[in-house]
Amino acid sequence: MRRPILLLMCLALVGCVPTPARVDSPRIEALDKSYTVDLPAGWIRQYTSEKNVVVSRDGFLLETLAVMRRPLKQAFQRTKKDVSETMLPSELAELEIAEIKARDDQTAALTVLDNEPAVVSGKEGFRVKVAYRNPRGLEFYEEVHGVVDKSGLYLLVYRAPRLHYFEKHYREYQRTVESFRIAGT
Amino acid sequence: MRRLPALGLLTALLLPSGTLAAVGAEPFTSGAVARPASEEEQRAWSEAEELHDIIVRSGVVYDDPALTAYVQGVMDRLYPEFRGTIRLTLLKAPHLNAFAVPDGGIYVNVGLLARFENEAQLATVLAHEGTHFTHRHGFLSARSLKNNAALATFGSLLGVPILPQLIAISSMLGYSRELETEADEAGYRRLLQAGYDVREAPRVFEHLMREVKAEDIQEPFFFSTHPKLKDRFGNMTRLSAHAMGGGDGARRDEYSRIVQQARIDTLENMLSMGRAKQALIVLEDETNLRELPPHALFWQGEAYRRRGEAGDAQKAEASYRKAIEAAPEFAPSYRALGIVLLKAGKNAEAAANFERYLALAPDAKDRKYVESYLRMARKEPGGKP
Amino acid sequence: MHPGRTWAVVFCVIALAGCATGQTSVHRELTASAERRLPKKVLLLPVEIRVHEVSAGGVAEKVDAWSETASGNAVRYVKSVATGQGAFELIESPTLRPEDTAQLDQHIALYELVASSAYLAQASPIRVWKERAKDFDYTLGPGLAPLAEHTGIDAAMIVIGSDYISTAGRKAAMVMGVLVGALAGAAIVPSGGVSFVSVGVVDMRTGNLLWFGTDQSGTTDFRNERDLHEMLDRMFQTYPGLAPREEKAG
Repeated sequence: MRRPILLLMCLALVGCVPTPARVDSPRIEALDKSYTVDLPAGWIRQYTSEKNVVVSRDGFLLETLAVMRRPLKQAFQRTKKDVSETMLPSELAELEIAEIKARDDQTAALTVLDNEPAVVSGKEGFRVKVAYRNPRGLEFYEEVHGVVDKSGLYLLVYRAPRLHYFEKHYREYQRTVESFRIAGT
Repeated sequence: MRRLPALGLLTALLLPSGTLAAVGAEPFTSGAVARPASEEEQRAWSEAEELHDIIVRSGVVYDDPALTAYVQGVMDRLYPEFRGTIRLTLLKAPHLNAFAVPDGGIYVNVGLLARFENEAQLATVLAHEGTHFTHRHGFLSARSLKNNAALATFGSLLGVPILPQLIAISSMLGYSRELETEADEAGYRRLLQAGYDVREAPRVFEHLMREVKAEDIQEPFFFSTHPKLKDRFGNMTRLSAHAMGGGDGARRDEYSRIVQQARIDTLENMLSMGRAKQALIVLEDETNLRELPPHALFWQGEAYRRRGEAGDAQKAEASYRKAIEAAPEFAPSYRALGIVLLKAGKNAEAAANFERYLALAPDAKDRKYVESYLRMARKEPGGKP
Repeated sequence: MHPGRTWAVVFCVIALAGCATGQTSVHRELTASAERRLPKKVLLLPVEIRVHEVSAGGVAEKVDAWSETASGNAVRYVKSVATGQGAFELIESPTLRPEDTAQLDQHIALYELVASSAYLAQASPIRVWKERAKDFDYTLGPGLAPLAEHTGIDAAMIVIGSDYISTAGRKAAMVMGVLVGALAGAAIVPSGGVSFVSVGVVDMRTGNLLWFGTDQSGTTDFRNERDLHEMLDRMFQTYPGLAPREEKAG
């Protein structure tokens, strides 16, 4: 996760994406108008180069909450996998787990804590929670809610150290997931 | 490690040729005298120690004391005078990889153990990696990396810590031609001295070449100065061409028994990482399948399903059915078959298989998924429209 | 990633933005307190200042002897603050149960991220992060409270730093590497070298980062006791409850 975080910081620094700003109005619309979602008020919002949104209260090295839309083709870039609208939730979940494992040597050794169906934007999706350690041995939890639609694969991701931080903001993540709506649904 | 980072490729371009003799240093002759000979070498050892801490803390060690002791035993047989100095650590990664660090730490992926057919093949790799330590290749390469003024022209390489790059370079794709040849030849002599069947040595490179093909690794252009796997295979074949039979360590059944759990863990790990092509290298081999539990045909089906090439859906279904026949109490086969049938619109048969799965595994962690698929198959309310 | 390496990466990203300066912060709960004094019994965790030699080829290697010298310099300074100025009572090497050691180690790992986040926010040129840093409420959470109860220790002081010395032994003009190395997880080090140190005091019961200071320089050498002491001296000027030191002559 270190590389995407550093890339985020550098993109913001050099002005490749909109300047980070506080979440002042809770309901936001995706830059490509593909969804709306409530984000935690007061958190700092930043956009990635793929126009996905990431928010954090204390800093991206600590907690991150991300909302992403990926095209169906090559939805999973590290594992080079496509998704289709007809895929079952468990199939999407296993692809997401493989994608997380492909991130680095530490996530490759992750443990799956939860993997179950979940309703996302009123559709049948999945919820996956995994644990892994950083090179310093600090344990992280990462929870992902995902769903596929003809317009793409949607993922809501929450990642934080297990110690104190994951539970501290989990309720905000849950509210974000509950509020998420794909456009036109 | 798993991936050769771009920086590793760049630094590998500029690796030295030349052995210890060229810089007036001597190989270690035993564990008793294996210590840094200079402050510079001490730094490499210190960094190796820190790397070990990182490896242990970050949860990537494969925790099987009995298996680790077995592999350590093979290493000690090859390098008896280094007992206690060369220390083995197994890593969870399923890739075919092993590497040595300057202070005698040798790291072996369980994927490597799992792929080999016998102890002699494992010993070939350990003998090779041991030579990287005894002949101080890590220190030698680090020394040249540091002093290579050409590196300074690459701004992005300023301040790069040495060890991760050396690991990336040394693993799989090798150090320089001279150092790899030295490790192959000295390692070969160790195999002979320890009484291993050296005719197994070239088989190691066959495994590696198959892995490279499945990984779709393009051997980069810098291989023009580094020995390709094919060349090393040829070299090892030449060395062992006149070997008499009767060497030890080629007994497959005993080795298979020892590494059985590692094989299972590796296959499951590979499948969960989506490395279906690599898993099929193992699972399409009838000899391998015979050594695995009867339900291994389920993993074969999973590998076909996840590979997802033309015809794989049918192959997956056939494998699941064979798995049910071979191991009728193994629940996941029913779930997997049920999913294939559901997607093919064969709802009644799908439902029957889901029901059988839930009966066999009432506490299954994925129960909620299967219940939702059962509703779909029965076209009940709450199922997918 | 080793703490020193984490810091080097974080620091260099900010330094690239040209916004690096010495900073100290006080937890907002302490700022709001009328007394504004930090805890008395402070555990000094093992000081880690990593001093590297940067070769002609641009490769950095930690030098154990130099690192020990620099770390020793920092320990002596902290002790002088404790004894000379009575700011706190320094506890070194308490007897810890194995479960306490494990818990402490996890919290130190968390501290590295919390402190890095605080530093990034302080040094960021982006307005919203600067504002975040001003509302200083960084914390490790209350996980160390049992340890505090067991040992009677009020707070932990953590000193972490890095220095990079070129083989010429001189600090040349800074030549910044490109971002690629930082993104790959390697420490980007100007060929001339940069010194960086941070000090944090964590309340063991609440986990709050009560006081946090950072500073960096392109002209110091942490192997030199005076260089490091002067830098730490500037930082500790803002230590709550500490009487301002008289200017030393010369």
